[in-house]
Amino acid sequence: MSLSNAWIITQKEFAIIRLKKTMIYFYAVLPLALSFGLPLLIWHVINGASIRATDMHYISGLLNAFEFFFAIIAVILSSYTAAYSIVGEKIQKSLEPLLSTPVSDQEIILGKALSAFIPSFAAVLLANLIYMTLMNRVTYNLLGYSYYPNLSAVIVLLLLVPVGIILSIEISTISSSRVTDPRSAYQLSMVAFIPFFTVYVLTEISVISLTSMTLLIISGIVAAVDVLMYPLVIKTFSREMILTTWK
Amino acid sequence: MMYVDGLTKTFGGFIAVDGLTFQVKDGEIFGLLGPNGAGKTTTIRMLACLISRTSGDARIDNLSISSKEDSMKIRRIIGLVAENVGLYEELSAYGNIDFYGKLYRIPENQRKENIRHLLEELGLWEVKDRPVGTFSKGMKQKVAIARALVHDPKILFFDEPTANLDPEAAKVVRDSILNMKKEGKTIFVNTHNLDEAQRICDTIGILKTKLVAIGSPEHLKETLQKGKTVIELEKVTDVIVSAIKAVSSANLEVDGRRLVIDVIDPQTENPVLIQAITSVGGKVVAVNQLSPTMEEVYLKAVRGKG
Repeated sequence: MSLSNAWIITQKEFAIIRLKKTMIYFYAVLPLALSFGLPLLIWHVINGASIRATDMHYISGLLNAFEFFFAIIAVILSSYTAAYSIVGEKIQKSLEPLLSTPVSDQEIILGKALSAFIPSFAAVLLANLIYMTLMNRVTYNLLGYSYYPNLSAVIVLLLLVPVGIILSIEISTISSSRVTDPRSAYQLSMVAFIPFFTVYVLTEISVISLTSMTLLIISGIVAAVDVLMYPLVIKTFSREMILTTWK
Repeated sequence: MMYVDGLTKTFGGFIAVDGLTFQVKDGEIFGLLGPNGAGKTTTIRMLACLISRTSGDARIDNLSISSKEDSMKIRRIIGLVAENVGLYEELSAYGNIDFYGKLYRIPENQRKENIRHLLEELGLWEVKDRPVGTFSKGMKQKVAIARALVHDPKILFFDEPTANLDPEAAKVVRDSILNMKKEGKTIFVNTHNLDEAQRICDTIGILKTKLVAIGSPEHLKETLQKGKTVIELEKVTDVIVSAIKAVSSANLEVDGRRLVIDVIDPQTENPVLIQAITSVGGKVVAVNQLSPTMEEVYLKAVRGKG
């Protein structure tokens, strides 16, 4: 497999993304809403009520859950891009000429995956950096130390977010083969969102707590699902399937 | 050269293409004619290594489409203009072609030169930076042709290149194909435009899942469908009709004062017919020779009747 071929495809996808203002807004608005919104919310909680010592645990629990939000955002962003990228090719019927070039199916799918992965990951990293900086300022007086960076945040950003993005890209690829418009593909690929949302709900009802170990286990499970789904993605995105069975 | 030998494709139990065998010589335009669902697109897709064959083989420039290794090499020497142009509407004409040039690993300077040459030749240089989404169908087809030519392929596949184009745009596309032939390229065209096939193709294959006929347009006309001699008389009588039937067993139609007779060899048969008419007192006003149309040839091949 030639990485340079995949990168040429990624660059083409970036060129299209740059021309789509809605996609740029999508990448900016959602992460930045979390970056600024969550610290603002905590600031309001701290300043709007009398905080007892026990509330510090409450605050730190909230911060762990907030960090998890960024994994969810990464899944949403990458699903959108991956769904648009593949269904966009279907709508424009550009896959047939592309497949006639000396590029393998795996190079095409890798190129498309990178075009969904890189901006989603970059947007989440940047947004998280802003979030951590602001949150440290907001909580420093209450906690007496800078809450971020911590091990949980590192695990979320460097493990859970990447494997979550890969999962969403895989689901988007498979769902894109069954639909003919990006919105439907995006809605179908939101299946990737369900396990993350379930984890969040389980933490809210105190069934699990988002400790570093829990996050490592969740990341491991998602990574295992990524690996298990990979052969299915390759089978779905084969030139024979694309040209003969895709809707 | 392209050698196709028993090429077959089935989808489940459905036979899409059945045992195609033919050759395409270097530098010729080969047209595959056939009704919808005849297997034309499936054939091009197999030859362009887009889908696998079920049985049989084809060798393109001595490379086999059934070898995984060769199929990547084949894709380097072919260009495909699919039925749907398949352009990235948001990108410019230049951007679309440049993307493909990169995939074919053409060095940057050479790529720029190739793209400029192609866009100038096709009259698109002035609009090279416009998104192709703003282009007319004809302009998009030209961009698709330029894209297929950016790596200077030896062989070009066109799948219905003029479908849905207005006559002017269709002419531009046909002229481009003829120019490519002049440059020595081998061209394989799928079409159901009979007039187009007759005008540009050196060899025509008529496909209906199986290859039902193959040859030059002239050869197909000669072998598949008889010509007609139209003899206009002052008056047609039963005696004249009987006289003709006495010398020819060919199909004879009476249309007012005209007799329309199927003939295989007009130079030999027409004098005999005229002789028969005049011998019973018939007066010939005019004699016209009608060649079979490509449509008649096509229908004869596809339906098995004229």
